[in-house]
Amino acid sequence: MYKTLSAPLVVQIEIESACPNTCMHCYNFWRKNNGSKSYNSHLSLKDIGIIMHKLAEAKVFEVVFTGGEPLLNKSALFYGIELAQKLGIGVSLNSNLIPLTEKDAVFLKRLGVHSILTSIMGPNAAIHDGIVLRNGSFEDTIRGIKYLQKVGFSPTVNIVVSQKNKGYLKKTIKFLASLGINYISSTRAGCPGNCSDFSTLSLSFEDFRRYLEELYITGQEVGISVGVLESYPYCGIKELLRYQQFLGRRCSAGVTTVTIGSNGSVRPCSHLDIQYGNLLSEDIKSIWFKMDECRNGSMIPPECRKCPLLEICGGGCRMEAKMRCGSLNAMDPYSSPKDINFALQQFNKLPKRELKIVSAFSVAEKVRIRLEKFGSVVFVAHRFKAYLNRKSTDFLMGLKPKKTYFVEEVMKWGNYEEEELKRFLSKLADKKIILQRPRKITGGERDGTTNSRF
Amino acid sequence: MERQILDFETILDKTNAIKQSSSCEENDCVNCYDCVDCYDCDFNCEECDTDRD
Repeated sequence: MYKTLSAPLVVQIEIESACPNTCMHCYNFWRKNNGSKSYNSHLSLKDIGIIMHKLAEAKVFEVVFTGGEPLLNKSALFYGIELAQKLGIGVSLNSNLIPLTEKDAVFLKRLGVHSILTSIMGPNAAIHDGIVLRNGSFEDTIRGIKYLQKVGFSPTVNIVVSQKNKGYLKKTIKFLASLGINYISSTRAGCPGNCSDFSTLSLSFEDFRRYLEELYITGQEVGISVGVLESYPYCGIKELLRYQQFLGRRCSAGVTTVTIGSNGSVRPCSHLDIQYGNLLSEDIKSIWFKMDECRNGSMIPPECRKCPLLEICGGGCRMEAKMRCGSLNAMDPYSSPKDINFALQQFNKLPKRELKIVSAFSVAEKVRIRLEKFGSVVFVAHRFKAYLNRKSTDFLMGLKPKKTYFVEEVMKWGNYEEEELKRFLSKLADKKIILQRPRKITGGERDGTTNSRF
Repeated sequence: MERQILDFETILDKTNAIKQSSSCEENDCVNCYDCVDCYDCDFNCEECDTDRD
């Protein structure tokens, strides 16, 4: 069903399995029975060196250091970040910030970490600490957020919503807005592997829909951007027009992403407990190719295979399906097949982006291209932007940085049809892979006649 | 062999797709959601804070 890329685009690295918190809903599969720690392991500096070099060789674009709590293994974390930057891999961090010092925040900024994600479960210590099962956690995380803000980070805060805190979502969002948080994400608590009973935490289907509405409406009321981090089935979301900001999170496990555990094992997703190899002894590509079942459609529920929304929806979360409905190819418990037609009608009404006509342009400065069998993957800075076919890849790679090009000159390069070229340039500009330029430029800047590679 | 035109690909393998929706292609939709399938994206890095696809 999905293409097999040459390697993942983004890799999560669980650098440390231990964590100061023992969250009731923790998705670390090694924490059985409501948070008790079943094993501790961590990646050493040597391990990190091996992993980062293998990822760089495979041209992975981004790594996310996570855990457990990655800041409990600071030496390996900082070494990993430094190495990633040297190797041209972007870095972000998922952390509860409890071990973060003011000095660490400065260091993370200096090392070029581009984004940091943390979690808050409620509007006050009683609720938050009651869920993460550690007194003082709320204060510690808030202090960490302030340290980050002081050095110029704008951390994203995720609210994991379960039966325990579903009544406090609005208050929590308002509280986070008062802290100066610019973007809030939220996820429904998801059942981890090895969990025997998640029934006291899982949202019911009705809860799930109420949760989406409250998240949406509170974001509107408070005037803050809110979104989700998990893939929810489109038929379960149903009101696609209303909840546009919650769309586009199709499951990427084994399709574009993997997770490396604190012992080097490689899994398609942080929630999933199935391992396909170990990066300390194998290379990433051979492990990646073993994950074919994540891409070939065998994990797609039979009921979803005929759905017209499948290719954009992906069928929801496979881990949730496995743990709550019995198998990896069962339906996501938040699916609602009876609402497919309604969701499809809504999908067809989603506003289309208006493409602008481009007559002069230059290539964006931070374009990163990885060649693939079908063409290439394009990132701009830390963000995925597009898959391109071979002809388009040749075209993009032929553009020199910092040069302004004119459509009429570019037309001569490859005997492109005018409409084809204009349409393609508009799409590239829409993705900010190329930037529109004014027609009048200084003489020295103009160099649109040479099809040189960079 | 069919002449290739300048265009985007999707992550879907069109030759092996179980069910190929025509909605995006028919509408020439560039908002194909391939742009946001990154699990860890937090939407607020400084390079893209005005570019939430």
